[in-house]
Amino acid sequence: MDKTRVAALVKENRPLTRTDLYHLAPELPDQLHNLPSCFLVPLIVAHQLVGVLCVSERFKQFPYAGYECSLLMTMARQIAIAIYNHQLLEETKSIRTIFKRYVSDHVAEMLLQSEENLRLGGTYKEVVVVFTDLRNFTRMQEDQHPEETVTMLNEYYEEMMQVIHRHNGTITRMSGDGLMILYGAPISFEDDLARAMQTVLDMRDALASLNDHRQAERKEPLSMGVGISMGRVLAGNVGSTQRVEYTVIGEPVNLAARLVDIANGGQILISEDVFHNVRDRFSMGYVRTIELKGQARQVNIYELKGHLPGDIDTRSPDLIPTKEGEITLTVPMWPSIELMVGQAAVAVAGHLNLDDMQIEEIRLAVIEACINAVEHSESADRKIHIIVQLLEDILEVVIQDFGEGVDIDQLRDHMADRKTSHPGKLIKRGWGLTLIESLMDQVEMTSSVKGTAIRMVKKTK
Amino acid sequence: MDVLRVAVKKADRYAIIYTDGYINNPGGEKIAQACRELVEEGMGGFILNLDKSPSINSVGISFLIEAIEHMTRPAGP
Repeated sequence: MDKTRVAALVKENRPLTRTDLYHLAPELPDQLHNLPSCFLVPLIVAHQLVGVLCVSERFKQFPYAGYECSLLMTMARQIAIAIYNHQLLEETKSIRTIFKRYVSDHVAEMLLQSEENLRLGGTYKEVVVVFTDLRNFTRMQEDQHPEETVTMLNEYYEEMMQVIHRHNGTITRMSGDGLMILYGAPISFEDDLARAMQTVLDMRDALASLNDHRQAERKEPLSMGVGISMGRVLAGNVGSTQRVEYTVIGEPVNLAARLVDIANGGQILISEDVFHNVRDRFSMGYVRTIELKGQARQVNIYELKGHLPGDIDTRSPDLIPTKEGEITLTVPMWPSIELMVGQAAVAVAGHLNLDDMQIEEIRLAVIEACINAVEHSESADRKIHIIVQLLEDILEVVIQDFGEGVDIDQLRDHMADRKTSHPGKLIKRGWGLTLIESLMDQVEMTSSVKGTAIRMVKKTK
Repeated sequence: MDVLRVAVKKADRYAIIYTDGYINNPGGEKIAQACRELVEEGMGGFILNLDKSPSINSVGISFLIEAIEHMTRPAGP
C-alpha cells in the first residue's frame, strides 16, 4: 500500500473513488472492484486509516443520494472508532500478557492503573532483593544436549515463577540459570520481607518436587543457591522511550549477589539486616562473617533454614508466660558466662529459706543448664535468657534459648543406650541433664524448632 | 574470662597438681594434659588440689575422669 497516498486520503477524509480502492487494496478480487454501484468511505480514526466501508447495490446503478452519503459517513466514523477500540484492547491484552511474565497479576494491574508507574526516572525505596542461581549449571549444560538444557530451564522457571508470582514478587533480571527478584518495588506492601522469605522457602519445596520427577526420569537433580538482602536502593525505569528496564541500584543488590555466589546448593543465605528483622519468625543459623568488597567493613551472614510453626512465638513471652514478680536476665553466650548466671541465681536464692547446700545445688544446676544452651542450642542470637520466680516456698529458674531445639526423647534414649551398650564403662560426657535432675526437686525440659527451655524448681525445707 | 591456671609440684613417686580457677571444658583439658604428661614421665600417682577451684561443671568432671582413667590404665605393649 502506498503510504503517501494513504496519508493524503486520511488528510482529505472524503469518499473514495474506484481508483483509490485499486491503489489501496489491489489484492481484492475483481468482483469487488467491479461492483456496479458502490460508495466507498474511508474508516479514519486518530489520523489512521483502519479500513474502508464499501456499500453497494449490485443490480441497480443508481447513485446514492446526498443525505444517504452523509449518513454513511457518520456510520463510517462510528465503525472506525469501534475498530480502533478493538485494536487497542487487543494490544493492551498482549502487553499485559508479556508484562505478567515478569510480575504477578496483582502487581501488573496496579502498575497499569497509572502511566506514572511506568515513566522513566528513579526514586529511593526500601526493598528486599533475592538472587537465585542453579549450582553446577555450567557443567550440566556442557554434559547435555542444548534442547535438553532449554527444556530443563523451562521446567525449572515454570515452577519457580508460579511461586514468585503467588507471593507478588517481581522478576527484574533473568539470565541463564539466575533470577533477581524484588519485593518492595515497583509496588511495596507491608509484608515484603515476610513474603520474600516465604517465597524462597516455597521455591526450595517446589524444586524438591521437581527433583523427584527428574530423579524418576533418571535425570540429575537441580540444586539452587539463594542470597537475600534488604535496604535502601535507587529504583526506577532506566532506558529510552523505546526500551525501558526496571532496575534497582545499591548496596543491598551487591550484597545479595555476593551471598548467592557464596551459597552452596540448597543453601539460603541472608544478610544481617534480614536476620534481625525476621528472627522471631524463621529458623536461622549464623554462618560466618564476610568482608564486603571495596568496603572496610564486615557483615555477618546467616542461613535461613525454615519457617517456624505459627503456633508459638518464642520471642513473645508466651513460651514461658510472664508472671508478676519475675526476675529476668539475658546474657550473651560468652565463655564461662554460666558462672555469672550461677552467681545471680545464688543471690536470688539467698532471699529464700534455703540452706547452703541447696543454694550450691541451684548454682550447679543453673551452670549446667547454661552450658547446655551454649553447647547445643545453635541459636543465632547467641544469648541465654534466664527467668527466676520467687514464690512462697519454691524457687523456679527457667533457662531458655532460641536455638534450633533438641529432640528430648532422642537425648534420653541416647543416654540409656550408652549405659546399656557400655556396661561398666564410664560415660564421660552428656551428664548435664542427669546432673540437673539430681540437683533440683523438679525439672521439665521443653524444646521445639523455636528453642529450648529448662524449668527447674527447688523447694524450701 | 576465668582462665584456669595449673601448677605441678613433683615429689619422688607422685605429683601434686594445683588448680586455680574454673574447671570447665578448656580448664579440664589443661588438667588432663598435665596428668598425661606426668604419666608419660613415669609418675606413679598424683594428688589434685582443688582448693582454689570453687567451680567445676560436668564437662570439667569428665576431664578429671579421663585423667584418672589414663592414670589407672594398664601400660600398653
